[in-house]
Amino acid sequence: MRNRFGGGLFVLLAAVALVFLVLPIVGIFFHTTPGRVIGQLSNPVVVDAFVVTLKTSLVAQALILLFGTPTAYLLATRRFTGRSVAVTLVELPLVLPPAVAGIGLLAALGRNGLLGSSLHFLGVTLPFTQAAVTIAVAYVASPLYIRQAIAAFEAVDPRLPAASRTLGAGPVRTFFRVMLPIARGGLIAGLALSFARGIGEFGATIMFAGSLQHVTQTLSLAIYYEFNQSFDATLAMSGVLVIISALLLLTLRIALSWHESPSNTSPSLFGLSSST
Amino acid sequence: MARVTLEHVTVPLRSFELDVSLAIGATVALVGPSGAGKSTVLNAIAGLVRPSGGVIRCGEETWFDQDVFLPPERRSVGLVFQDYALFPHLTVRGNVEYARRHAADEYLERFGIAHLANARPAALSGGERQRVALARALARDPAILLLDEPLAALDAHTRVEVRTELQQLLAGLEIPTLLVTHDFEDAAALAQEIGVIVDGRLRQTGTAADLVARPADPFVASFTGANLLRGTPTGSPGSIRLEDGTLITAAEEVGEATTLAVYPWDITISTHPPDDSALNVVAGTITAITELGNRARVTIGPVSAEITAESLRRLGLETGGRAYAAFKATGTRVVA
Amino acid sequence: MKRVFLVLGLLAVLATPAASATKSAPKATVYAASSLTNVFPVVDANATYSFGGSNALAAQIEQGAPADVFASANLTLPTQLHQQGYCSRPVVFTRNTLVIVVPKANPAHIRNIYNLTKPGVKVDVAAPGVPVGTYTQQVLNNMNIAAAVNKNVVSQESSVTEVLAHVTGGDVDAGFVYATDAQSVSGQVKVIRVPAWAQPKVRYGICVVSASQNKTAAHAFIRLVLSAKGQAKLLKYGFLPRFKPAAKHHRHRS
Repeated sequence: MRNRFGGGLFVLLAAVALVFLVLPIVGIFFHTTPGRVIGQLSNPVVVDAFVVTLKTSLVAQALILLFGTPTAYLLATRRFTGRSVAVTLVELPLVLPPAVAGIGLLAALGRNGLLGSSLHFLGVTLPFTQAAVTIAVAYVASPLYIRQAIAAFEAVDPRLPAASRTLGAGPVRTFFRVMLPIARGGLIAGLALSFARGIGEFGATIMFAGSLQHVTQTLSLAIYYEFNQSFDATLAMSGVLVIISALLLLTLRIALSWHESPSNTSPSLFGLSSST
Repeated sequence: MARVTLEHVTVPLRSFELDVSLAIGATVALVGPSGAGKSTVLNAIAGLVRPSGGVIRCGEETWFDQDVFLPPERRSVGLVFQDYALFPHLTVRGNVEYARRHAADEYLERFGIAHLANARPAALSGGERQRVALARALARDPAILLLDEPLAALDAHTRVEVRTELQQLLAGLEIPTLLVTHDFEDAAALAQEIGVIVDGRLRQTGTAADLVARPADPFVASFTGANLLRGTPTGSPGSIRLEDGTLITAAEEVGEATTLAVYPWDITISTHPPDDSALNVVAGTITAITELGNRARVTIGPVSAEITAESLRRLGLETGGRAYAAFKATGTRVVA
Repeated sequence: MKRVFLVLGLLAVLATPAASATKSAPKATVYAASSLTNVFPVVDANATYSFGGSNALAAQIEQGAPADVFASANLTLPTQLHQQGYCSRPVVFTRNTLVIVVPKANPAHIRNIYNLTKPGVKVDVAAPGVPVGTYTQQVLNNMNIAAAVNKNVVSQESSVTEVLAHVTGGDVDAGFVYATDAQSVSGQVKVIRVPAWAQPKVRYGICVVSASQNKTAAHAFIRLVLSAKGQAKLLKYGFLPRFKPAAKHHRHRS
């Protein structure tokens, strides 16, 4: 008797959670029309915002991959004094409110910033440029990738790279031919997470890069500004965004299912592992 | 065939320091309890562990000393890990090719895994995986083959099969081999020379027979365990005929047997032939008597028995005298 | 330990109604333009405020935000809300002027508004929907420099306080804000005047939100703002009187 009650309670709680998650999306489409949503596709604000978001996200993720992968690899496979401090530092942007991250970026890379003043002297200004959006996105999204990547590398049986070395492959060959292929599933999952976070970035972007159509106004910023102008247009824009996000999710799911990794058994797109 | 030598190679381990000097020319087994440092010796030779001192040489080449530390990829070693460490993302062929691009097929054939070339390691049985691991390690044409607990990952039934295979393989190889195991029997079956390592030190080295006959200390004695009796199959299951014609029967009916084992403490010694025809009896001359506290090891022909010191005195046993070692079929095991 | 929490919890529960019982009237919730951030709390310390870009506030009120009063930096927004039935007819309660502020160090050497057309100068403005953003475009159009200056705009903020923050932070060369904003950070910026003839008509409108549950408090607040005391405080902070003083009429005798 108790079992059935307990089981029923679980199902009820789960149902509430699912409705909670789905309701806002349903709400958006409920209050707009397909015509308006499609109309927004030709709205130059939306098109510009889409292009800005796409460009900056792709570059940011490329940077995250390039710099984050070696970082994660070293943190996962080397034991050195101060390692836990290093890991904490890498995770810090995660807990930072995005607005604080934005202020921090200004303080570091603004015209009078720690590093920014030297850059300015060399003729390089970062705030309010598209590069600034890329930097803000990379900053807030990188910890998500790095954490997953660390877990992915840690999950590789250490005897495998050892075997590779005894078979004549040096550290570099071992990384590319053993570590990377085996950890690939976790790395892709991490990239998906950081990509999702990057697209949704707002606080740091608005502070450090400002908002200018076609230059720095991302989809998130465009929605925010549109809300201040017209709720109807905002609804339609949001509809577009939901569709774009859904398509992205679908693409990633397909891409991940092509790559069958022995470690990727979770049905979750983001392959969230229980370790770390 | 270049010898690999270790001179006072020291590695600090958790509760003691490993200190080993060893020369590996043929097949050597390192036996000892878990945690004794056996795998560390393997890893040190492979270059996966950097010792705190000592010298490791392969023939004329110095792999490790005060000034030199060659990384694993620059050493000519073939290491077979305890659970084989096959690359899960590569096929069997891919694994073997990792070591040697072009002659992979040759090795696949040689190890009887050509039909598995396109399979992934996850789909293979334990025995098949070991063959792949061996093929991969040997494809590198190493100067020394290192085996870490080669039989530990197998179930009891496969073990015997695989051990025989391994025996044949090692007999045919012409490179020095060091294998590490916690099972004395395996070591005796596979290696010519055995080193017993405890708490980071080599307690004794010698052939299997040496260690059984003349254990250097009670630990080695208890560790080495059984006598091995080799003979020819007789047709009846579980029994063999020794060289001098004696018939030895084990209680297990395992089919064609060539090697039986009996523990020293299951053997009773008498100075005249025992009455009971159900017993296995090995007659011979006492060739060695070693006293260890209140016990004694007495070697009669091919077997060593362990009896109490009191029995030793009561029977008046002396080296050179004739004696009979008797043991039950139930105390006799088929080993190979 | 549990007992301590229990007692504290009881006290908190008991105190709350008591606290509200001592106040004779509930506080008004005032949604006001960012430029009023410093002066409104001085006019009425008892109200609850939410400051932001006037268009953002208007959008929130449309969506049912719990405002009692809406004070906008223009008349357009509250009039729109009134036409849609969201608030009462707006009343002008103060006026303002536009200025240009530059960082104290003035890195781009801006001396007058025309310098803003120089290529490479970084100008910060508010987005067109925000009152001060609209006013800025009016100024630029009045002076015929809209195209050139807009080329130099690096960002469009959602409220005037953000524009001010970017100027005081030193990351932009100039920003368009209200004179009252410049006054509030006088030590950190240099002010460059916008010629009087180019100034737009900046009139702040205030109204009672129709959905308010607190209309008494709302009306009381508005009365306070319109009172002599309230108006004096506004003037002190640099705002202009509600109505333009009677102009000297230059009658052209034909």
